[in-house]
Amino acid sequence: MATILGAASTLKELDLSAEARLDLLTAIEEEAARLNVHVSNLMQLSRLELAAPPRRAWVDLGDLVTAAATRLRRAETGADLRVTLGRLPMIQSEGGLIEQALFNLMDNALSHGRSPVTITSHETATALHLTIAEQGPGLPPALQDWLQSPDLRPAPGQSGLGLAVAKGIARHLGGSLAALGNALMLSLPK
Amino acid sequence: MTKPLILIVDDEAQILRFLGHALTAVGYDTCTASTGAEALAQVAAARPDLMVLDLDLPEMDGKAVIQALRARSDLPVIVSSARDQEMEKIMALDLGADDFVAKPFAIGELLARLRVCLRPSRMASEPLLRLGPLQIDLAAHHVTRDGAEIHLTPKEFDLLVALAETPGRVLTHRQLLARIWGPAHVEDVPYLRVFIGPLRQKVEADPAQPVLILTEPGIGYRGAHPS
Repeated sequence: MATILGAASTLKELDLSAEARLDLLTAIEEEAARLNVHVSNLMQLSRLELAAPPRRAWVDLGDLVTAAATRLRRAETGADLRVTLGRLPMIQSEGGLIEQALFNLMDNALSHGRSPVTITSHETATALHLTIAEQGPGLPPALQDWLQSPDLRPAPGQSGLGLAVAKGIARHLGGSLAALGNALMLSLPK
Repeated sequence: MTKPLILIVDDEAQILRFLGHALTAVGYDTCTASTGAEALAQVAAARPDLMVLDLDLPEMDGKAVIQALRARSDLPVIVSSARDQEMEKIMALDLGADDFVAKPFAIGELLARLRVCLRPSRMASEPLLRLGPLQIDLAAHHVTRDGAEIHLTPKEFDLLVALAETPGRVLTHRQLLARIWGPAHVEDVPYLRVFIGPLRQKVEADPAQPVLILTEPGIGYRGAHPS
């Protein structure tokens, strides 16, 4: 927010070179995109607390992974995401929520873990599983405990809302989010 | 030549402000409305060439505006709504909106949709359709890519024709299913996916990175933008 207001007032009041103007405009764009992610998560969190039932329709998890990865690559140039998905059946779920959960999980893995971040899939009798793995040590033990607890609020000391929202979405859709070493696995019922 | 007139409908004054500047800068005339009733009145009074409609309006929402509009006009409509509101977008498209942009959007994306929706629709008498490097001969049921013939099943052919008829424009799952398999099959989305896969295998240079048949996740498919 400080960046946006500061850069906008600088552009309005000062006589800048074309290069400096472009740089400040880019800063505004990047910062607004970051803020947009944060606000979407905040809104999602309050929607999840209201617990309106999911609006289910046919969804293709492969398409949703691609959509989230595309959005993330646009937000963070150079994001090293490697997607290798098997052929998955479609399921009845809420696509917009799944895409947001995947975006958050990939974004977290990139910013707190070590690149590259890999996304893989597998299928069991009752569920589809997407695994988002990074090359670092994985979630700290305190967060792993929090992940298993029913608490949907962000864990103490957690800076962003991304993981809390992903956990809330997984449960809202009748699935789960689990830590497995340096990976997080989002499971959704068939 | 007169400039196309774009009616922008949004209850957020800041959106009207920025779209007004942007569309004027690229050579359109603009007029605005901030409620559904005002939008319908503007359509009658100003006779715009296209409407950019926010779905999330107070009182009369965007879907009601489309319903009222479609009873008497085929004015092109591009709807905008939050990224995760797929259901709203699908309903608007099935009610007769021509395309959508997800908010927040980059201006380039909206301009691309505007160009596509302002193009005159194809003459029914044209015997050949194009989609990227594909040539589709409707009478002969014949598809070629750079001169080489591609063999499609009748359903694959119909699917390709539907996408090539309105290049750059989204078609919902429901619209495609109703058109190709009939109204009894509008809910059979997994069925549609089963046909899109092999069709991509046949027509795309790299089926893993499709550029001719694009997926709009949760909504439908879009034929490649006309170049």
